[in-house]
Amino acid sequence: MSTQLNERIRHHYRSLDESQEPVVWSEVVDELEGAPISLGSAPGPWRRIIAVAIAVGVVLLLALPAIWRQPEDPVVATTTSPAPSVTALTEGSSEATVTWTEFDGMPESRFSPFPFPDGFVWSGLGVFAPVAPASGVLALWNSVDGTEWKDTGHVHLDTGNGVMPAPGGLWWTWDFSSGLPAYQIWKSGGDAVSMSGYEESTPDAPEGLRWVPFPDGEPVPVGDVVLVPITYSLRYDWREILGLVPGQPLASWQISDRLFSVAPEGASYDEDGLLPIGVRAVARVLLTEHTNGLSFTNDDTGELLHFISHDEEGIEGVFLADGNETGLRSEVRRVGGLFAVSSEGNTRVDIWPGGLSEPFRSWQAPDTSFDVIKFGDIAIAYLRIGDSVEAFRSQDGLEWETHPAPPSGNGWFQVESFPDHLQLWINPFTFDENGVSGGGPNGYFISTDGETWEQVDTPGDPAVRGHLFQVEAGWLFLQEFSDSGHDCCYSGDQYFSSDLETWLAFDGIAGVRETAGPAMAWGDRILVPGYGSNWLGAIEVGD
Amino acid sequence: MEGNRLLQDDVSAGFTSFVRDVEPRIRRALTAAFGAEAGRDATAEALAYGWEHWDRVGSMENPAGYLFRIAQRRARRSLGSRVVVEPVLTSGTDPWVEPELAGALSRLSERQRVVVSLLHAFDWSMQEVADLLDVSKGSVQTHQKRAMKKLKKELGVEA
Repeated sequence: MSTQLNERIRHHYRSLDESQEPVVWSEVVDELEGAPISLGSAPGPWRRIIAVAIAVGVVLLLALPAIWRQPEDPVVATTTSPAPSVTALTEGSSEATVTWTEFDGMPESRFSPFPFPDGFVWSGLGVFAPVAPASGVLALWNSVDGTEWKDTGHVHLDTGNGVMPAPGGLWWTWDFSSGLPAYQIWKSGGDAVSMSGYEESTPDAPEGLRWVPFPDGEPVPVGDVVLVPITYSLRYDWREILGLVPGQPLASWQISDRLFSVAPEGASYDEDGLLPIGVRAVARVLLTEHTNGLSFTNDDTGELLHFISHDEEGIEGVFLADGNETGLRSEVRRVGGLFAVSSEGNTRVDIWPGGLSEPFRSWQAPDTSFDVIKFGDIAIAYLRIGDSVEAFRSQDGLEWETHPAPPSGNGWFQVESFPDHLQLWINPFTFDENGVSGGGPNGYFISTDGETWEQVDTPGDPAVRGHLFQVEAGWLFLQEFSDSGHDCCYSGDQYFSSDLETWLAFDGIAGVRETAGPAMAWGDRILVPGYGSNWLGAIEVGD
Repeated sequence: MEGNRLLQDDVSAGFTSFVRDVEPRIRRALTAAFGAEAGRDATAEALAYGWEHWDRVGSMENPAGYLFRIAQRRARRSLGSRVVVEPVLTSGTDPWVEPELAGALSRLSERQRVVVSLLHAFDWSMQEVADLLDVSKGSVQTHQKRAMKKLKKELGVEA
């Protein structure tokens, strides 16, 4: 019967194919030139004149709405959603209703929602040029109720961008264009500070959402932290470049996505500088100059902890390094090849000088990963090397002690903190010059005390990566995503559970489009970012 | 002048040869994803885009995959969530016509339809499908397994 199904599929698509005319060259030309005027038929000079006239006409047409816009018109558009679709899910005696709503109207983009402490949700919206996927404009959208989204400003970025949380209710974006790192640090509801020359905000943006120039050379207090203005140049001393002045509080200097990401508000800083919470049981992390780049080393042991490689053209790659007993440990962070440095940071070995076939942009790496989370009053750092995981805990980010190790596995390893539990997700994978591919099976673990773990039996394809999180109403949402070699796309199935035992499959998203990244719980709603096709969706689940 | 013309002819010949090679591949994939009419329109748009930007597209490692994604985005934009899977016209005696198949295919995800079509109808290899979709082979395999499982269930076919 399976053979018959294959034959029927074959027959179906082959019949369609035979009845379909191929697209030929003349149609491609028509598509370009457009009816009814064919430039190809116009004689020499007229052809140019017609083309110019058409171009002017198009520009005028596009400009008309802006020309006609009255000052009182809202500058920002509020997105609206089409009629939500409702799906009833049942399995056994369990049932739920899922309402799926799409917010349409945002420009084609990569979209990521971010929670904000005062109830805002900020969204980084990158409009990417097809030539250089990581360039364009980062638009900032916000919503206070999860149903209406407004465009509140734009930041121009040339390469590399994103929005990351920083202490003190701040957010920051960064840009490594031309090897000159530039940062914007901003917050809502009060000050908004731009630390770079890029600033553009909509004129009518509410107070607190505008970008303002950062005073040159003067530390500026914003909330609970002090921002240090920096002149960016790779020629300067590294300490100066990163503003790492002894005794000087920092807003947040996350060199990689999450390596140093947990910085509690009001955290004290070590006399010698630097990072409020490192990763590993180190009291201090010193910044040292290195001929090949920027190194962070543990000043107690001399181990290299973090390394940014650069060349004359600029930042070549960022990668994590972790010293161990073998003396060599390397992790690729992005394009530019895979290389290793010694644990002292003075020897570099090119492993794949030609670079990987795809940009590998995940912060996690094959042999080592770091997770630092806050759980209640303590911070827990998880260091994975190969198959083993070590854990350390700290109450102030300075003194660290051993913490019971969680389950381990060589692959994707991610711990997330929720108010009443920790969640661990492991998905072994394989790694080669083509990047990373899933190898399954998944393992989901839950801990309510931060020390002991219980495995959760989850549905779905065990070889596909997933993301499990809790919605306020008590439902757990499991989002799968296939590995496409990029940070796009989450395209697997979704499941709901209220008890971690019965899972209700929801095909409402995967059946339609890929999503750009992990969904985010917001109250009793789940926000799901779209990719490449201008949408943001929300799921509401009810009994 | 003559040199420019020769160069232009070379570029044109290169693109024509490219179209001959990739047009069926892109069109079949887009037809599976969006239906015959929208798939064909999207193919024409993608190839036009390819010609306009041929200096860049032509030097890419995977130009067909790139144009497929261009077409995919545009088709999604114009179609929204509408999915069109046309039934196959038949004389009524063809043993390989499954009347329920079009409906079952329309309930697959877009990517699942593309994978099933290219693998089962046009005999592509997993790697070829992965290249066009710009995903890993493992991902193609996952989509294929899930699609076939769903089709079998919908059509009442024994596993």
